Amino acid sequence: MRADTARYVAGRLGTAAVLLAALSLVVYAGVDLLPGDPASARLGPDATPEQLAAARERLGLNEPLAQRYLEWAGGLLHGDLGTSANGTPVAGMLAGRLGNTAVLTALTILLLVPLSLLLGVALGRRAGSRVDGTGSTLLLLTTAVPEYLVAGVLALVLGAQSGWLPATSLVPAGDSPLVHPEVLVLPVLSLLWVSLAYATRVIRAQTLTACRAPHVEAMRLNGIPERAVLCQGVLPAVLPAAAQIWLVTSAGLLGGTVLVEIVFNYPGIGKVLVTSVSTGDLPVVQALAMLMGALTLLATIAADVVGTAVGRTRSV
Amino acid sequence: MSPSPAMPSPPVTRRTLLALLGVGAATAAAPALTGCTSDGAAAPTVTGAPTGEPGRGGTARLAFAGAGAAESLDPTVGTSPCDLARYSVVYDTLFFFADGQAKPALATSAEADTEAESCTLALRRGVTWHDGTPFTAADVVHTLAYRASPDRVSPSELAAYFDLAAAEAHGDHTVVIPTRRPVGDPATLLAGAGLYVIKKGTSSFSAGKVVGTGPYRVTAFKAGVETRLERHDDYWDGAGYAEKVVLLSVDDAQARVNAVKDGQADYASDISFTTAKAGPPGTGLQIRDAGKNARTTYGFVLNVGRDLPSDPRVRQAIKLGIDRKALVEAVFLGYGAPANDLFGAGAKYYLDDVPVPGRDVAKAKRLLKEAGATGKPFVVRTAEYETGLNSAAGLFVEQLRGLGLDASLVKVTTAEGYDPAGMKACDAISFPLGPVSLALTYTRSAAFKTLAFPDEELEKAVATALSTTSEADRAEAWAKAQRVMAERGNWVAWGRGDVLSLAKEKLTGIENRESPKYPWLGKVGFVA
Repeated sequence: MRADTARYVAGRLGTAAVLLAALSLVVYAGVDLLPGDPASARLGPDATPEQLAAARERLGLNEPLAQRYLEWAGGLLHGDLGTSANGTPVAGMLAGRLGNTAVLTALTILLLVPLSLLLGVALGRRAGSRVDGTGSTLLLLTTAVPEYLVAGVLALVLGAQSGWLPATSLVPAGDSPLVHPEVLVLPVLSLLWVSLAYATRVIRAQTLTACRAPHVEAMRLNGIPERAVLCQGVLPAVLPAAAQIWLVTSAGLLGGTVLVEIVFNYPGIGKVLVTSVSTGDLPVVQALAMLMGALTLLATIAADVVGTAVGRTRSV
Repeated sequence: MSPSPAMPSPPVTRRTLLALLGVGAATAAAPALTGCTSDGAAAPTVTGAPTGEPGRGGTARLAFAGAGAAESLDPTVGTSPCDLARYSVVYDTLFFFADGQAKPALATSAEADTEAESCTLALRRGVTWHDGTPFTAADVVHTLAYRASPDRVSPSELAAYFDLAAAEAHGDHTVVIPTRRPVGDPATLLAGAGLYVIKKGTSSFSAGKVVGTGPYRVTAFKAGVETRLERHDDYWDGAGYAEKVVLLSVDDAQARVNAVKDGQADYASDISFTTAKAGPPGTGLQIRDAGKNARTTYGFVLNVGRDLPSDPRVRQAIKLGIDRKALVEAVFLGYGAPANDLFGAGAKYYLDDVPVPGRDVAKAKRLLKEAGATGKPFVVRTAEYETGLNSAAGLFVEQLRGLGLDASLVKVTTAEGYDPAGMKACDAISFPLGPVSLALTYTRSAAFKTLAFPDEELEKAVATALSTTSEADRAEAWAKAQRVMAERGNWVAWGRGDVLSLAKEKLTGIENRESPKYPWLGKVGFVA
């Protein structure tokens, strides 16, 4: 079983490497098709066509796509994320911001794990009751509300209208957002709102299935106290699926904070992505897409491995 | 695993749904009840800042749209309002614009020689850098060479007129720049070029090292987040009022408004017309406009390389047939006025007496028919460079259809807006322009083949206006150029919109120089 698991993990990592290579190709070629190019992003709308042509030549944009891709991918292997249209190294532009987005994601997950587990198990055990009916419908409705709307309403009601919390997450230069926890509250709440509903619904469903499983029924018939049934019968069946959901959600959150970051002006990578796409700063977009894709891939594999480790599921 | 569905849910009953919808509606209504004040007429705005001497001290926090992680302390890199607001208080230019005219800053005069082969700059004496060293001609020579280097991000428009790299210092306070073609009014060209003077030897721009001659010096900087500035007490034009200035980079207009509303900022630049219409969002706050001369002109440039726009009758028909008032109402919500098809309002030499064309739909339709344009396809291209440009283009297309053209709309992103190949396939292109000098107004659009208006009389007039050293000849040449554009040109500039901001009532000293979107903050402060 151990050797089997190790072989499985190695296999997954091998697949991941192949997928990452494929991803880099898709990202590079796909972003290259986006409107704008580093030359026009660099020179702005006031440049004459002659100046643009000269800049393209200087930046090597007239080289064939394959050659540019190979140079870029080679740089990635050495940890070089490239140079933005305005000449700044991309790694430097993302450095502090990646950390800021990670703070948002980590705090959301920290709250998401206990809350979704509590809510999901509580609803699942009361399946069919009025509490479950109301709770599940509420969750269904919250998943239906887009996150920018949630963020916008929170910013308006708790921020700008009441003045309880800052509606704009202004972090003084040189400080980490953790030094100013008040700027994190509303962004984290908005992210939690959307992810909580999804995770809770999955956990609720798992609890429901576990509660009806033969081993749980056997434990109950043997007169084992309900508390022990929950801890030894239900939770072990629920946790692997829950862990997978939490991992996948955290990967999704890293890339999914974009809208929330825009609404609150939070200095994370989501904002960089939007600015770069709108100004046509393609090297930054390529680096970010690659980074987010790689993180999602890693989280998915981690979820698979967790599933395997407890012998639950295995995707081939 | 059990084959049961992954997510068995209890049925959603009508009763639970209705009950929850009720709760939802109540929640949604809460902000609406307190948020809106009134509809109908535009809420009045205040022009400019309160008068009266501001007190010394305090921290002024101002929010501008920025460029995220791409912002820079290098004044040749940034183009966002937040970047430019920062450059203009940290650095000085040789000349700056005030009331549409070039005024001396680090240079006290710029004289073109009689053969117009070079230009001599006399520099201000007694200016010191933030590190206490004196400002000299060597700094200007370094700035010009730095600007001209091919390694710079963007080429300077000045390079067409001056051989920047060949500039020489004559003594400590004189610089001579060779010209590439006759330059009649070098001060105006230099004022409009965003030429921020950097210190000799500067090659890196990090927060601890950057020095300028401006009224504030940088103490901390984080791209796309904020810039912290402290007063430079030895500023040559008199020290500022606020002890500290904080520039906040906030891209979303609503987020800027929120920052002022909840007390995190004292000023939000460039707010939306909708926000203004709802009135000041709190006590002690006011909505300001930058004044009539600082409005942004919204319009379309007709591509005369295409069949329909090349016909003067079609151009005239469009100018006569569109409903400017409807466009102004719909886009500016009352914060603006119809325009007379000329860009450049607010600049020196702008022709104020050209009337807004009266609407004559019958004549427009007749002209289109005569030109054989009725029923022909007409493509309008737009990108949201300014709030409302796209909706204006949509309305414009509807109005053109009403005149009998088979008009259609192409919406593109701002990154591809001025893509030459894309523009070539369109008959009209959205074009906004702030109150910049006529030299810039007329050279910028002429740089693009698809936007230019090839007309002998116009080209001659613009060339004269740029090269003549005589003030009277220049005024006459600009008048001629503008009459050509008004009479038969390819501009359909339909309206001018206010540039609005939200500010604390006590905040003063916001000065419009180059553009109200990044005002000069050297004298910002609070009145008692």
